[in-house]
Amino acid sequence: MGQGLEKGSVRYSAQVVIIGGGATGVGILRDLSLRGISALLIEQGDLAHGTSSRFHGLLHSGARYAVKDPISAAECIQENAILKRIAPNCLVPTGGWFVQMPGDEMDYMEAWLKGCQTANIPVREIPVQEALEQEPLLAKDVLRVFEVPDAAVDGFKLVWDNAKSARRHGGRYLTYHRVNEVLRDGERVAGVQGENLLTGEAFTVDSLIVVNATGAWADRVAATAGASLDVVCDKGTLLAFNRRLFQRVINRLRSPGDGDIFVPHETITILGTTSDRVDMPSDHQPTAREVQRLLDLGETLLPGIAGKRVIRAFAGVRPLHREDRELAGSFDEEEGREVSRTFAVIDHEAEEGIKGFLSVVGGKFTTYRLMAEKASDWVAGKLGETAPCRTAEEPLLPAFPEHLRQEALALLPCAAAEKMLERLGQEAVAVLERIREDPGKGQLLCECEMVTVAEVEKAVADPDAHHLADVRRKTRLGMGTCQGAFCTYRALPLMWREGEKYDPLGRELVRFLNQRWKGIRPILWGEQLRETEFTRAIYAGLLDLQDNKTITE
Amino acid sequence: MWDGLVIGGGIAGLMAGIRAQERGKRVLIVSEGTGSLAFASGGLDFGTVEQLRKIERHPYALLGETVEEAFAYFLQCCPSYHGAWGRTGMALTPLGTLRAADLLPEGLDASPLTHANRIVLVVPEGLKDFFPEVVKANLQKQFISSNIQLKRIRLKEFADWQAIGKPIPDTVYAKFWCSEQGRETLKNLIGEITRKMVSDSETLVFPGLHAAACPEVEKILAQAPLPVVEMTSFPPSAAGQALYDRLRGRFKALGGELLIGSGVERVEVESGQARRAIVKSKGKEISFTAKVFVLATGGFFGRGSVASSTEVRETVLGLPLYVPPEWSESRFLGEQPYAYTGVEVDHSLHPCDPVTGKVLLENVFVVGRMLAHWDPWVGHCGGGVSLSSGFLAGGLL
Amino acid sequence: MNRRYVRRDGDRQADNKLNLDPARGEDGMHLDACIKCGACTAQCPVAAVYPLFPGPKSVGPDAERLRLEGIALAPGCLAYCTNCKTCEVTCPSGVCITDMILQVRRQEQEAGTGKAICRLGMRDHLLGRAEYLGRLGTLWPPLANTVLGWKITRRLLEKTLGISARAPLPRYGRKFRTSDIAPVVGKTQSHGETESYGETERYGQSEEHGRGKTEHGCRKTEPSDRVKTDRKGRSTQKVVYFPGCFISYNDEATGQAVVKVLEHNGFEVIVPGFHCCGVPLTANGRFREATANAQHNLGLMQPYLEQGIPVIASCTSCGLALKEDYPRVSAPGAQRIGAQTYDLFEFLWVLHERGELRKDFREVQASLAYHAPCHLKAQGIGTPSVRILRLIPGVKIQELDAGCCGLSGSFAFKAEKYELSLQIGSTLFQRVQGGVKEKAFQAVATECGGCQVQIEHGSGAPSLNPVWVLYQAYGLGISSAIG
Repeated sequence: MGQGLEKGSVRYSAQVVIIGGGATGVGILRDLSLRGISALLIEQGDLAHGTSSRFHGLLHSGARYAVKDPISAAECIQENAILKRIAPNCLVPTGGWFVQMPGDEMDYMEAWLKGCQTANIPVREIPVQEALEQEPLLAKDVLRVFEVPDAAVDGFKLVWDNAKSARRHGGRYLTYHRVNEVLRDGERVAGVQGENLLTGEAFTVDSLIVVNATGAWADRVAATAGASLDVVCDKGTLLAFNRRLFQRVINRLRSPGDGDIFVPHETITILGTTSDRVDMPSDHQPTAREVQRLLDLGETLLPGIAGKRVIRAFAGVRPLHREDRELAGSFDEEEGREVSRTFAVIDHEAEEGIKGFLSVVGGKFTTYRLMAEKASDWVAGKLGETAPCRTAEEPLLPAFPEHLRQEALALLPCAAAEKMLERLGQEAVAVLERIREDPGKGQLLCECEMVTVAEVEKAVADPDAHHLADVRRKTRLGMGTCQGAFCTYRALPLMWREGEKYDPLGRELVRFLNQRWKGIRPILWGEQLRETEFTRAIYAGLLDLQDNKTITE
Repeated sequence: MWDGLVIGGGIAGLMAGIRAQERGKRVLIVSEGTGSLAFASGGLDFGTVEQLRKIERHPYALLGETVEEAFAYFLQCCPSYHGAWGRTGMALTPLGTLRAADLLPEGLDASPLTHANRIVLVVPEGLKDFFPEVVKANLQKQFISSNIQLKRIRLKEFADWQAIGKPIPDTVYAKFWCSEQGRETLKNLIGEITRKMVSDSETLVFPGLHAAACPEVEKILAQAPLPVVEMTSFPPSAAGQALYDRLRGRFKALGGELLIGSGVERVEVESGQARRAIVKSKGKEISFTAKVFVLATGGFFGRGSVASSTEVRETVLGLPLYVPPEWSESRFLGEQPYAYTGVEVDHSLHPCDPVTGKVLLENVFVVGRMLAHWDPWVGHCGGGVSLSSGFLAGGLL
Repeated sequence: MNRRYVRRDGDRQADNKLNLDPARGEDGMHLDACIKCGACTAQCPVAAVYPLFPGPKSVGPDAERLRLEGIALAPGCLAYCTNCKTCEVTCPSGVCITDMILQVRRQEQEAGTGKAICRLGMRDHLLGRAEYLGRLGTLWPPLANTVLGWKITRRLLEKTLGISARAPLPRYGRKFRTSDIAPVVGKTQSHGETESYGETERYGQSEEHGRGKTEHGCRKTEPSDRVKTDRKGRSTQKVVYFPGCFISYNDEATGQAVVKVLEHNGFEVIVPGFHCCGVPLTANGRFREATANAQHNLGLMQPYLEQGIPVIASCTSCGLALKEDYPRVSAPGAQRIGAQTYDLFEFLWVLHERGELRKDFREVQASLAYHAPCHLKAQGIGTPSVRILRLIPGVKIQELDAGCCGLSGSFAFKAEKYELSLQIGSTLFQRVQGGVKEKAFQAVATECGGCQVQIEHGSGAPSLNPVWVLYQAYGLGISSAIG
């Protein structure tokens, strides 16, 4: 629960309600808060639990859009530079390569180079020999290699850092609150009403303006206010490999297609994506067919990919906006990738005469800040506020002092210290204090991703942590090789102890295991199958836990 | 030339080796690493044998009376274990809940708890993967009328561990209790708790003790004025390790040889007979010839079967496998079809063609997790199937 | 934050250099196979007694994933790994844990981050060179042993160099050599090279079947393929013997016994002037020198390897190095050495299986316990010496199966690690003492000289190389340890 909200209160008010706690929503929350506008964000799950974390974690340089979508390309390279400045702790400037393979069209490469030049994306050619030395797993028959300023970005971290920054400036958010209806007062919107999913209580928010930033849910939310939107739900499936296969982002230098991006992410590598039209935003279960397709496609860039360990598959649903309705017939409806990825900020007053209601749809993670800026400009205009946007200059988190690193290194194994500082920044102070008091808290609860007991305790104690999965998103707990085989058992007692939220044997453990299982089922072979046998031996055998159907959901 | 070559050093393989060696055969066990016993609780499950036997193609249906014989034989091999055919015992899980088990080392038997009106839970400081509050809460839930108390102990011998906050594995604790110093400490501790006893129906719950690994500790507990109940532990577990050590020691004492560290790459077949096991030792492949081979390679976990995204295969002999039409189910802890993958066999454990039912190799026996049509975690019969198939193979070898 | 990028970038360069070596690449080390079961750390002899050592899982596969991301282990973490390889033997997944650890050590060494304080640097420098110490010691063994026997010397050594005053430094003996020194063998002329191999010793029928016989082609041969007989019907098979430092400087008598046993089986034994195999150098972080030694030794072996002549090691650590490390060295012969190296008893067992082992055994009344050295286990060949000894009438031998002795090359000699080494070996010592007390056995047989020294030091029971039992059974002489 956000600060400044009384517990148990079911009526809130704010100048602006933002629906949706993805990157766009928290971006707007932060932007408005920095301008001194009172805003409340409502999210039906945990922040960043949706599309904003269900992507490949690539911070585009724009080069991928250089040929087909020059506007996107230009936006991306600008935002890329801005985010590197304001959110250095959320991303790793790995750099990225575009590699041309035999059979890839020469024409495309020329158009691409031209497009990059137009969009001001710096490109440097890397001699093939040098490239193969730097990335030994890259296919040996690669023809040309170009370097661009792609980077890896952590969706969870970026969203949470936006939320925390907003909170420091008075922004508020409510998680596990679902909006059922956007309320109207004649022509104007008057706020929203919905349900607290944790308690079942109804709530209402009074506001002058409602911003719909619900991504793939946007058309459904708009409909409750009587507005219409045309959003295509496009499922993209991705694979997470056990370790770093490449040290930088690897793109295929051809018309963007399926399975042609590898992104190194923390300890793992992500391969994406597929693109399939789905009916519902909640249709994000990856299928074995999509997984096989990704492996087949990935083989071109990474020969022998089938032998590399996949630790899970996941999928996100991209909300694509059919911007230009007149062109609706000109592209294949089944091919989500053909829809423009440039975002749209839709003023429903202009479209349908509903005042104070704005929808932000389309776009991509890399340009979330720009979308938020445009939306916030609109909101500020409506409210007559004149303070300018500051999100392009103001860093998300204050930089942590170097002595903090030294302190962390003195108390923790090197890797654990580095990982913790990456995740927490200055907030690590509290964790270090805890470890100094009790060295036992410095033990590693998650050995794969090196997460200490103290850090998990901190995440658990956060009032926003309601489920083990919420803790996972903040700490990377259960996201490494063993996918929770050990840390689930170790973390649950902490959740239970802190505030006695859960019965240690109850639904929470089974729920978490089942959530992890969703991502493992489509890749149930090889070492992850062994890991599964081991995990079942622990939970179904040793601990003798039962999954009664009643507690599955 | 060996009489028998057992591929796989888990419980099924060791059982086969022990029985055959006892029958005067010369047996070599080749094992990729430590068997899965080191991760097990130390207790062995048989499940509801009568019901499982009725399930068509379940290993119990093939093994018949052997299951009961194996049960008795195991007790003979491991005298520190307790169990009675047809009567299931209870052990404490690491969470402090009760769990059924059919064969248990004496210390793990949790039955004294049922009539204890006071339970003292020993909390050895820093014991890894042990959460006393959770255990206490769960004990309280199950023994509503008992008074449950925590007794924290901090040992100066582990000062170095505590100073850096490093959790102490239960294998390390168990080793300490077995040392001369540890035994003295244990005696004093039990004495201290006994002196404070307020009623005559008290029970001590003592994690990280694992008396089964150490006869001297067993002696101390036998003389204690109150029952001491141990706990199973999170892997790797001292109790599982103790069982592994016990079986391995017995096999070696009988003259068997155990080669750990390099698995069998493949077994060469000549004119319908398995002939030679090829072991990838350091530097070169070496081969061992044997009259009979026992395939105890532990299913997917032991890598006796390997699945890729497109196929499933048996790794050593290339035997055909039964592969279920569906692969997995949505509830993680529920039934999982993939677990039923394995080699189909006849009543003598010879591998058979799943289509024709024809015996494929007369001098190969398939045991344990390599057998098709069972899931240890749904049938709660992991110990039973492994023991009895291993026992049968050891008798036939 | 830029700082991090720079650091990662720097690490990336180092990674790539290593990954180019296919044997050492991440795939070759089976990182993906790790299922985090923790069996390695549970079995690690050091982690069980020394909390500051994070254990093989942590410094091996766990750290490797992070290393690939560019986050290095804290320097010094690895100092307590004894390279006993128990973790690798234990691992049910085939993960090359010690390879990962050695790779990091090597990186630390190259980056200079793992550098210990100066005094210990000197100590590691010395202990890594068992060979030079050995050469010194064997110049005049009585003097060396006397001086090293003085308490004052040992206290001085501890004070100045950090070499434990209580550790069981092995005694020096006469240097292993034979009176029967053959002429120096040059590379065969058919190869058109002239470089000399240094001193080479030959045993057996070397006078009659000297250099000419070494000029056969490069046919790859199994032991039985090489059975040839000379005009008198005697076998002319040859083997190269790699004695190792312990035999060379501390226990030359056992070396002689090995040679006699091989000769008894009709082999001509060739002993070129090998240097130390490199294991102690590696263990003390002297990777470059270890490689140089390997190259030197491979150079000496190369002509024999080409003829398919097997190389026999009686020291299990030397044997492991020859089988595992040498094939990775870039030198002629590296491709062959792995497949052509045999542990002595492994070799004898191969002979036995082919019906070529002489079985003219006399009865030997010996009741022995057998300790399998860690580096024998790591070879993955089982316990062939037990198999062989059980062929001898009268011999009773029972495996102790009580884990590592704790000596681990020079680990126990270091002042700060001496106590630890005794703790590591305590289970073994107790089992030995118990067995001797109950008269279950009279002595401990084990191939490794270091294990022998440590077992005697820790338990007080006599120990011997199992070759002595065979030596006695063949009627070649009487071994004092079994009487």
